[in-house]
Amino acid sequence: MNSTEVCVDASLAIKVVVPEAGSDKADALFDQWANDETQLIAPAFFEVETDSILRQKVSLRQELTLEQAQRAFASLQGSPALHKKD
Amino acid sequence: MHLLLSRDRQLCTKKTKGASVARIFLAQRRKDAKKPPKRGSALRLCAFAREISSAKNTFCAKPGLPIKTIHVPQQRERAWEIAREFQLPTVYDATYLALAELRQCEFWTADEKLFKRVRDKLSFVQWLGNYSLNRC
Repeated sequence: MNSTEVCVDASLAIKVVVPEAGSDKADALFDQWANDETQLIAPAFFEVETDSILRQKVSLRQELTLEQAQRAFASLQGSPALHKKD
Repeated sequence: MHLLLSRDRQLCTKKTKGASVARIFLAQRRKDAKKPPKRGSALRLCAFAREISSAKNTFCAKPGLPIKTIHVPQQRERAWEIAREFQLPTVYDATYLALAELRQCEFWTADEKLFKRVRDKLSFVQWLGNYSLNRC
């Protein structure tokens, strides 16, 4: 097993920028990976998924205000992901 | 570790009332945990900074999540097979699974339904709910 990389999905990543059930565990996981210098990877549509989740939380579930979603989106967006084809 | 500390200290740097509140909040969390600052929680703090402050100009540098998006050979084909094998209605989840399998690494999700569906056959899949906060 390759321990230098971990694949993460949008359902996990969203918990780091939106306070909800499991956010404490998601924080701890991301901290652990940062300390271990683990490379986090995801498919190319990852960002589309995270952004769609935020939109759903505003429009469909009404769990976030537009302003809250906007700030969460900005936090996710901060560091542009690297796009690479092997 | 020092690098991470420095990076997180840059999250809220502008000297505004809101940023000060944010720094105090972060400092308190660090003190409580007696651990290096938490990147994830700091990100969320920035996103929701105005929830704890009435300052209009709260500023947070945005580090983003350090996630590299990639495509590997055979990913699409393997995702199709996985979606078929586990009767997944779309190939989105299957593509994560295919990527992790092809890279031979763990796949972490907060989706319990997905985890329960594949855990017996795909041992590299991990569910957030099983993560223990006392692990470290």
